[in-house]
Amino acid sequence: MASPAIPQFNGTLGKIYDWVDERAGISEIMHELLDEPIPGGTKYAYAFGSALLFIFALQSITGVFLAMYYVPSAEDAHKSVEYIMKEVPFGAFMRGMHHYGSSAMVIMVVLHILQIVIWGAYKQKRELLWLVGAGLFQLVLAFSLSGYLLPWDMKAYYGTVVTVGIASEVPILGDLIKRIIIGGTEMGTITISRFFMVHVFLLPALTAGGIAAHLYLFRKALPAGPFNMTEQEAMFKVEPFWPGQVFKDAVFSLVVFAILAYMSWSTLAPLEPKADPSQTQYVARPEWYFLFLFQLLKYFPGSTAIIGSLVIPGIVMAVITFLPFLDRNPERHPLKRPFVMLGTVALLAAIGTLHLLAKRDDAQNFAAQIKAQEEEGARFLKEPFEPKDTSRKALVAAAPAPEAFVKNCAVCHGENGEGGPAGPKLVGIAKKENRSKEDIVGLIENPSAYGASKMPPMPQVSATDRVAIADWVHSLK
Amino acid sequence: MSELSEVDKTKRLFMGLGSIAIGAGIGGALAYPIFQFAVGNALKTSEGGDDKNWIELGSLSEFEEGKPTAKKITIEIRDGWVKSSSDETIWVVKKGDTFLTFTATCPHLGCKVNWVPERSEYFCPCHNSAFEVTGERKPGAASARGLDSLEHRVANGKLEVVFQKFKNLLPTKEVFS
Ligand code: FES
Repeated sequence: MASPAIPQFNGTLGKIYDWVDERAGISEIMHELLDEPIPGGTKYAYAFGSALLFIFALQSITGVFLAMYYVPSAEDAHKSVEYIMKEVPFGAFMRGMHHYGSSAMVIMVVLHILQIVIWGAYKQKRELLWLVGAGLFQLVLAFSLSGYLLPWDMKAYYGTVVTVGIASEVPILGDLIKRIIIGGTEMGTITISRFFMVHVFLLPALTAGGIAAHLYLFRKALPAGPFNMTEQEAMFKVEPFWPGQVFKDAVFSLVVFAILAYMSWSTLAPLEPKADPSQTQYVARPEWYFLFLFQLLKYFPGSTAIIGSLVIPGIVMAVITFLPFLDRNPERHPLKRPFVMLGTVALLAAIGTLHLLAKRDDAQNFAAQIKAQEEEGARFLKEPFEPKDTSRKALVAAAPAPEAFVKNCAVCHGENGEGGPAGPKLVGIAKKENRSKEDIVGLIENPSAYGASKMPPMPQVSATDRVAIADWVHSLK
Repeated sequence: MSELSEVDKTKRLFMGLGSIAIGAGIGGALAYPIFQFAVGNALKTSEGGDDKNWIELGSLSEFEEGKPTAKKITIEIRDGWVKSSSDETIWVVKKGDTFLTFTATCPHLGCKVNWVPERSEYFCPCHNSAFEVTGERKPGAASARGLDSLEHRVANGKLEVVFQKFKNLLPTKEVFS
């Protein structure tokens, strides 16, 4: 089996190699893996699949290590992620790689699919290969949906509330499905624990199996080669996988890695304050690559909602999944396949338009709130880490609210300063900028001077009471 | 592809080595942060400062002359992202006006020692280490040193200690923090 991919060793090294090879069959495997002929020669256009594999490996490695600190419970999930971001060496980098890596995964899977569609590389007995690929595509989306909840911040919480709501639109079984997904009627530890198990055990196992099947079927079918050459022409220009294609794949993966590493270094992966189900002003938005689906929901009000949330996306996903069965024409040149190509362009245009409409809608109607949320998230990330205090000392009950607070403030801010529909939460306000005790004393008398113009001035509260209120509010944690 | 030209051979060598170099580069660039991340805060020494944290054990009258008494104390610990409380046992022996205070942690490998009145010794059942009432190691003990004494004082009629952890195995006491 003379193969240019197999290293030739002389002397002792050669003897060791031969000894291992006779028992482990390395040469045979290397030949299988590396000498595969690529009709028409190697190309950067073929690198998307390998890059996907590379990102999957990155996600697996960073994910395994993140699991060293992450705790899947409503009590601890958010605090443990905050700990990773603020206290663990390279924690922000590792979470950044995993966070941006998930976007890279989605981008890459779409590029991979587009390349296959344009090249018509799903044809000629490649139905099974495509079907497994479509399954893997859906697994990537499932990864992203299940991972979104795990940090248990505002965005995770409300994003998942919406996702679960959509699942409950399934006729007849909807309620059952919703209960099974969240593990009852309350979203909490049981929900996180389910999403965690799916995200870190079930999906990786399924994906690993899917990848193995996909690669096997790919090797069985052989690469399709260029669409503008006959099979004979392509076989004439054949090049082996090693080292030409491997090199191109490696260069491309290096570019992906460099971008991810740069982003993880320069921009903290977002983490908002802990999920708060009582927040009424929060504007929930999905991850950017699901924004078009979110926009689609808006066009189907009331009882028609299911059309936008499940029917249309379901049909599109079904068409994508069964494409090789729907498009049976052996022609591979993109310009000679108007249906598929126009369909693809139309789908991309629709997704792009919906995305831009969603953006425009937000900019017109929710710009201030979304900006406030982003600022709140950034402020939260800058705040020094404060460990969760479960020591017996901390269990000594907090002092009750002063009477002046109950009379004047509780209506809007809640009896324990937890916030209400008309007033923001005061718990933890001591850590915010421009909210020292003196500031709060002043703010009660003249709110607009302290950037709280929505609050009515309270001149009726005496100076002593204002100090008492400020003291108490500052003690809330 | 059996006949490769010299140019092709050089190209193949470059691409082969290039691929390996890129793989190694990415692996190396990841290994360092991952290693640091995995070690985490394990090597940080606790920043207790110089302030001693005196923990009350009880009034002087609670202790009987010459008889070891077990006292439970509650210490504050920092456990990753949580500040929590944990209980520890301290052995206290009154000798006239003075006191001996030992941590119940065996200096051998960290099991807990109990007082056995019949034999008048502290005994660690893990690897059979016995200690005198004064904390000295008895001959044949697996431990290389006697029980670890804790710094104590009497304040306002109460006995107080500073709780510490010590390194295992060594013949002399060294703080582990
Ligand atoms: S741990 Fe006590 S004797 Fe080994």
